[in-house]
Amino acid sequence: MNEISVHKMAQAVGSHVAKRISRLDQAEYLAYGAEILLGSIVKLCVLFFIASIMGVVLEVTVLLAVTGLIRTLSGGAHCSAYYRCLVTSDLILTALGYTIKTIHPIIGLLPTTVLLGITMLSIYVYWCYAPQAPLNKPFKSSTMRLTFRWYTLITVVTLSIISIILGTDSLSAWTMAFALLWQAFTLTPAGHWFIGLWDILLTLKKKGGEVEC
Amino acid sequence: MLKFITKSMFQGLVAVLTVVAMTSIGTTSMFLMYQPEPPKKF
Repeated sequence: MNEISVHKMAQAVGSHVAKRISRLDQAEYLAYGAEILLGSIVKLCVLFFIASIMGVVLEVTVLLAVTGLIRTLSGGAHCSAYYRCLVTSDLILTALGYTIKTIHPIIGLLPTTVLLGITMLSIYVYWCYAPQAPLNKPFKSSTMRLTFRWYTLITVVTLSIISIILGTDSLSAWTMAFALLWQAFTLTPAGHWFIGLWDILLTLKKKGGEVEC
Repeated sequence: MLKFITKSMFQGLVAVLTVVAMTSIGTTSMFLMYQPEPPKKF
């Protein structure tokens, strides 16, 4: 099982492409790009396959678009291996999408102040915790950190305004609000603990404390 | 002709992989909840 992995496939692609263009010095860089691309394709295929079975394609699309955009700017908790990330994020996004769709007839009756409250709470969490760079890719300067902080806050405020304009009877508005809240949660210490817990639960076979991805 | 097509195809692939790698290096995180180890020299 561990013989086939996205990491190994990406390294093979990177080396092969680098050889074909006679730029062996670029192999590592191309393999890194291939790992992200292959990982994303596999993840999206699995995610939308599950979402279509559950009938929550629209909800998952909105959740993915909002969390994906914000996550690119704010960062957040990470799993330590690709397949754990695949299981955790597919499980969370589809479960969240399904829950929102199920409870929408009830939450759709709530006043706008509730939606406003959720978005305000999200903005507060982003204000306190964003941005967070992964350990293997720290910010190169405080200016870069500050830039990402402001990009995050501007994007979150914009999406919050869109959500409130759409109104409480809109499924997309609630999906956006919950996506903002979920992504905000992954920035908090509790969010890191939660993702860390999934990381431990999904560790099938330990090899010196870590499973090869 | 075939050689030209193959060469163009690989150059296109290189461009795509480079853009993806650059985008990931230039941002805090992709939507993936997992960050592959970036190349040592970037």
